[in-house]
Amino acid sequence: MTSWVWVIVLAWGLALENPPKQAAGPLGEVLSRYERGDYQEPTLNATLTTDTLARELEVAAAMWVHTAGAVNLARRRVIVSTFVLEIVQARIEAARSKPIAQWIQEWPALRSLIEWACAFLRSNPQPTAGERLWHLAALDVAAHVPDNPFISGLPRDTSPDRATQMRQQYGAALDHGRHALSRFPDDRVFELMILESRESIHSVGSLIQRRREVSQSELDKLQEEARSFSPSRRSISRRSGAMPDGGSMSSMSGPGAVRNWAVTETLSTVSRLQTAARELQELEPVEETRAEVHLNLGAIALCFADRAKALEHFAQIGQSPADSYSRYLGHFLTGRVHELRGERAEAEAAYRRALQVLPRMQSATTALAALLFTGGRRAEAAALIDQTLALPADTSDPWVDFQQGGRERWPDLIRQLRASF
Amino acid sequence: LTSVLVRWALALVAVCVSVPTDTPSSSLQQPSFRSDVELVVVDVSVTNRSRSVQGLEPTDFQLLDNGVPQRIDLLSSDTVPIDVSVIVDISSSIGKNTSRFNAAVLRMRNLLRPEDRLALLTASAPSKEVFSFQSPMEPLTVGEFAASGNEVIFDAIGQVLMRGTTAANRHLVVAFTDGWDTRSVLAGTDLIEIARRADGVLHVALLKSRNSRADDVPRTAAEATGGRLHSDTSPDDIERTFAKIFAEYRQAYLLRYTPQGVPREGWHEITVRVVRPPGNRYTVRARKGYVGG
Repeated sequence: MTSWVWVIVLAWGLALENPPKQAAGPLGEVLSRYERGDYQEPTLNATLTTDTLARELEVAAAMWVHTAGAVNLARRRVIVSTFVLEIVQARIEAARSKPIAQWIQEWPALRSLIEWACAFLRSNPQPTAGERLWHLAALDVAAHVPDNPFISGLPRDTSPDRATQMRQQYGAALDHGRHALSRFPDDRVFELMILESRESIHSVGSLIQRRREVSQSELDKLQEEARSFSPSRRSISRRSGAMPDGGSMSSMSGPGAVRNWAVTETLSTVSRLQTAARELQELEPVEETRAEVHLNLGAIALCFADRAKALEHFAQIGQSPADSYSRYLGHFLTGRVHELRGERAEAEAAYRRALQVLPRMQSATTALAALLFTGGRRAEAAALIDQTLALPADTSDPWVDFQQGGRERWPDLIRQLRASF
Repeated sequence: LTSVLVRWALALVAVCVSVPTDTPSSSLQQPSFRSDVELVVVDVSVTNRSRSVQGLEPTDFQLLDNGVPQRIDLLSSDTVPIDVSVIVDISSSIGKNTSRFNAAVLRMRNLLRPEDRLALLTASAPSKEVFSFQSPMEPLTVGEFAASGNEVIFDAIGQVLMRGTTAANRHLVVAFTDGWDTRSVLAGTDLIEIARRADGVLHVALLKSRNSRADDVPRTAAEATGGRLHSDTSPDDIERTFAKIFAEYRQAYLLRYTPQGVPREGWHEITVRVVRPPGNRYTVRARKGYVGG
């Protein structure tokens, strides 16, 4: 009798160790292969529609997770959620060549898929290190779409009607960043990522690119101009909080609408960036985020024509633990400030320092070449361009990343996630 | 004057026929080489209702350098090889139109003479050189273009203009784009400043699409070099547009002069007019100036 019990226990143990592959269906087999290191699976599954995939995951994922026993539950949930995130990322990459209208139709389903994976992961009683990596990766993916309401909730200027509409559209996927913070309440990196998204700090990049700075006197003029808008056009006050009195969100049609819209947009951006600067200051003491905080604060200062302050912030990056992204951009933007101040030698030195950090980047190379070329050093400029174009192109230019959702964390995070399996 | 224009002219002059203003172009002279003077060579396109005007003599032109009339030579443009840099914008805003670039580029080389050279750059962050200057007789590997990445057409044009061409050739730059630029390092003012100082002649073909954007920057940059913006270029017409630009460039006049009566340093504004026949309504395109020093 005792031996029969042992046989049963042994058989049960073996079953747990080697779960029947068909238990979770074909998707379960795919997940097992992914777990064993076949990272092509998310790409291979590109033929499944997102809706079909979501339905299959609903059934198969829980079964697959449980076939490895309780001890592996948390780890396997991270694997499933990472698998989903890799599919989403692969589809985003594939969508880059599609017409924007088609992409806009596809993204909501992918967003819901991320949210499903998030909820699946949060069913673990305790957050794990793997889950933290996953949330960082998910926020990074959404930040580069970019989908700000998904990360940080309703924009401040949302009208009640629009808010209702957005809640219906997004469902549980609205304010996804809060889910990450609910699991890791004291994590400053999450706070920084959500802040960068909510206040659209990446818009700073395009402002700098176009060399548009807003000085205090210009700002005063814009605010004065906004006060002269007829009451029906005072949506500016609602949009940006930049004016003391309220106004309706009525249309901006009619004569002068374009100018009014431009003023509105400028003040709205200014207001967002001022809010962002205040909140960034609160994150400054935290070592983990300090370099990136100074990078953003410097960029914001540059937008407000405070070049001296911008240089101070960029100099701080070198005094903090900083990765190559922040160090490169610190030097690159220092070069831009010096150029704006007419300090060509200092600008050249700064661009060269940026290229010491990341030698193949076209942003600093092009900026440096332009500086040399317009300074009469044409042969040096041509040699620089020659040298850069001869190298295999590096697609991860921090300057491009900075303008479209911030630092590209994905490659590093997905490597860490896979290693954690 | 440190401009490549000068180096180009000095190398070129040995193989060109020099035709002083007061000499008919048909009377050939011995090639001359003047190493101790500064020379400026200007590509001048003359058209009459979109058709190139041929057969003009040096005396038919008037060239002012900072307002001062200059004595000009007319060089034979036929004897000078042309380096053509083609830039194709394959950023995501271009979309499916990229599929037409491949065949068009392959056919473009048929228009070139054996001594000419062709280079191809794709514009989408980051810019990529598909192939550097090579003879049209050599086999070309172009590959398929897939639209992707951010719009960096200003950077791509700036890179090509700054790079120029190292040989003693003329340099034609043709960019096909929808006009969108969202991620370039070079602001519009930077690109225009580079164009003003570059030796190449830039033509920008603005592809007609729902996304196309007629910005003043490509137009101003092109006109600064003596080229122009070709708006409303149909994606089906890429090759024909290129053929038109190339033919016009080949038939351009090459005016050469040694600046007289103007300080060497600083910006030199160039004005070129066709004064004969009197009352003509020709369109004259030439670079707007150069930096001396």
